[in-house]
Amino acid sequence: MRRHHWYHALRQAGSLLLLAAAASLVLWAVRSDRLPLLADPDAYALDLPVPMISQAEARRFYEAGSHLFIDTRRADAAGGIPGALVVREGSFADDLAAVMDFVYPEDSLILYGDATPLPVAAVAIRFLERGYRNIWILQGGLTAWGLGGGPLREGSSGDE
Amino acid sequence: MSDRRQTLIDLLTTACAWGAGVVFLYASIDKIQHPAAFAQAIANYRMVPAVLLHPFAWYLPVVEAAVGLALIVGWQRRGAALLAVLMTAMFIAAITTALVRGLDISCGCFDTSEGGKVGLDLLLRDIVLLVAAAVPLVMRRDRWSLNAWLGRGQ
Repeated sequence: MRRHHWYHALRQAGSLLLLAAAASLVLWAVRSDRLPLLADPDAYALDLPVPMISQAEARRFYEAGSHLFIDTRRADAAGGIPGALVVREGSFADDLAAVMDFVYPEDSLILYGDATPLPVAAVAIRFLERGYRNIWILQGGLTAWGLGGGPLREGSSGDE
Repeated sequence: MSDRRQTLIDLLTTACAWGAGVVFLYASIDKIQHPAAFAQAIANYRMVPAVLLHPFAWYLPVVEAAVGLALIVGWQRRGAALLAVLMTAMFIAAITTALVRGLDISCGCFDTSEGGKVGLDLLLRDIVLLVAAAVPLVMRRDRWSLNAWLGRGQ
């Protein structure tokens, strides 16, 4: 009886979700202000805690060696920017402790992820909490860096 | 169980379903009207991958509207209550992580403008909504509902 009660609820929920999906499709078809199916990450003026930096500017700083590059992607992420230090949100304290001798609060940091700035922003907040103030997020992340001809290294991000 | 007590339980179930239904229906209106602004509100939580922002911003308000209507009229009410509980739990998780991360953002709950900042008061409101939505889900009887009037609600 109890199992039947929950099965009934699940079946009804499924039918409502299907109905809503159909209604969404109809709305999407008839409305002139419909959104494109895929969002352009840069199209949103994200409420980021730190400013973004363009690829060209970041490349200049990279070649001048004036800024530290921080890889915020997960440990098994492939490739990366040569010389970048790895500091991820999930293991922020440990990662920061491992690179503490190289990263000082007065340093200028350029944080990057795969492409979208959203996960990188979480790491930026953690740096801000630790007193770091000169932080930028790389616009377009590693994907745009590679497409733009920026130097890349092989192996996983944790190898650095 | 006495008739009087059963009637009180039926009243409570219906009141909770109506209350939660009105909240969900009302919450969906502005989001359906302004999908781009709602996508921005979702993006500010930094939880949804960019590729899913638009489908999420388009689909979620319609689900909210369907759930709200179903709760009010009593059609597929248990299923609607189940979805309401799951969605409210998701909202609570999003608000909690935003608070923990110190994000100063608008919640995007009822209107997509800058008003309604994420805060503890919002969290408490969602907990009340969660409880209200759970009542029609766990109650076996659904006396005053469209399904009951059609003879399929018991």
